[in-house]
Amino acid sequence: MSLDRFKPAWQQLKLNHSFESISHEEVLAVIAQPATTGKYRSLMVNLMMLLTFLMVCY
Amino acid sequence: MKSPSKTEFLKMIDMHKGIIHSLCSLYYQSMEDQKDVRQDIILQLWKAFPSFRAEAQSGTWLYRVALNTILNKKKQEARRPGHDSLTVIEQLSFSAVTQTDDDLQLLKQVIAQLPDLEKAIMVLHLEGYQNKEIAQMLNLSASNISTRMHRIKTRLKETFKSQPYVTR
Repeated sequence: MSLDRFKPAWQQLKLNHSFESISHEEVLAVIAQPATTGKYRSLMVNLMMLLTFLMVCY
Repeated sequence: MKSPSKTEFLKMIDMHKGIIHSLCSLYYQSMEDQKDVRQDIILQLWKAFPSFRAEAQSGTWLYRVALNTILNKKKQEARRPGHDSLTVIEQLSFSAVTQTDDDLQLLKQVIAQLPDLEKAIMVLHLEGYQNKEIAQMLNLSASNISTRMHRIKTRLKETFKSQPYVTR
């Protein structure tokens, strides 16, 4: 069986996922916090995104 | 205000977000875990970004950094207690979708069965990389990649034999 039969499916999978966004706020928050890791970083990123949102609303 | 390198980095992430999301979804089931590994990948890409301009193919650079980040994370998780229960959950969710004959679902099923390193090798093969290039990207020898590719094919043959409804 050739693995190559799955090449179109792989392209399709990438295409499907390309419609999901990665927000600039998330990226900037991640690269601004290089010392933190794992779940703690996720918490920090969420907090920073919330603060940014609140500042924009205000 | 964003620096020029940050603007360039954001553009690169936008361009390759399909690859990043796809890799995260192949290795992790829950949205929370996917988000966690996505942030690890973004951080490692940012750290390696100075080397980005030196490489001709941005896709190659991204696959190398992203897959090595995932594989390192998986290795760390495997050393933690409680890892086995998560593996069982992943296998259960795999078995729940085995009866579809859609190629995309089939691809996900096939990849889900593979060990972490073989998943990476298969993805890079599907992306069109040669064994020698895959070896360089994953810091392995070309003969190691050839052996593992052979194992992947053998494993797939066995799977398709035991599940005749997915063969076409």
